Amino acid sequence: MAVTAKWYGLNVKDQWGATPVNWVSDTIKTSLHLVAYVPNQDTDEFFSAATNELTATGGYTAGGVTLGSKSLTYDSPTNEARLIAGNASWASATFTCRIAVVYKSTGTAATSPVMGYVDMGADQSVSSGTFTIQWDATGVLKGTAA
Amino acid sequence: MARPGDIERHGPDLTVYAPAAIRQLPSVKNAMDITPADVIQMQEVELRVLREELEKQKMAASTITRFCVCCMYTILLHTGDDCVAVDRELYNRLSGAQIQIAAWQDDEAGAVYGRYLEQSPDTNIGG
Repeated sequence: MAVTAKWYGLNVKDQWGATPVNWVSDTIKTSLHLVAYVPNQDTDEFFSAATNELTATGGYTAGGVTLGSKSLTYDSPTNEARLIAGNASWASATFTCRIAVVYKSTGTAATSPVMGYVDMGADQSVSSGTFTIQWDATGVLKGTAA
Repeated sequence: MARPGDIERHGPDLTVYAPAAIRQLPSVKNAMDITPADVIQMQEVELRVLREELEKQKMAASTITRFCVCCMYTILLHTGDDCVAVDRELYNRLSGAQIQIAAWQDDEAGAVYGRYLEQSPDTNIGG
């Protein structure tokens, strides 16, 4: 089954509200979750809603990894605002996950807005290897000015 | 070469090629609500899912119309395929839509028939 990626709807709304995200200067993380976490695109707003995060074993650290090499670009031919980042990677990993959540970390789950998520289509397991999420060249997330 | 949406294993390592999140793929039950504008914005992995769904549905014929039109348009525009299949019964019901597709394609696509949605060669129009 194919890997799909979605925005959280409320995060799009919040960009014009009280909790906008500065993609480049804020701390953006990617966490991993079990299949038991079923993202609700319409109601999940903060990291506290992203349940069933992996336990901090097997190379995984609570809260996930911080994304580096971030940039915010605009591509005029496609009218796309692109949120770019380096890959998320876990070395010496031994775990199983299904969902990856991209979020702005404030240090407090209840105030850390979730931005988007990746559904890997099925449980993905790695054993003593490197688990990498390679983002699309056009961005982790992007929006199109129609 | 891996594409967005793929997962690759190399020895003990696993790489998930995440597509850029753009918007929600309309669910099958909402497929009738897909518009050409939606289709244009879909990412490659979503197009693949849509194509698979189209193949799976074959002809849930009575609910075709807009969904089918958008799928055909999608396949033509984004995959480089040169034809999309329509069986004759469907074609008769979709004549207006077929005209619309031709317009979207700037009349260069010609007949929009082919291998998807086939029931049998004898009942197909065109390719």
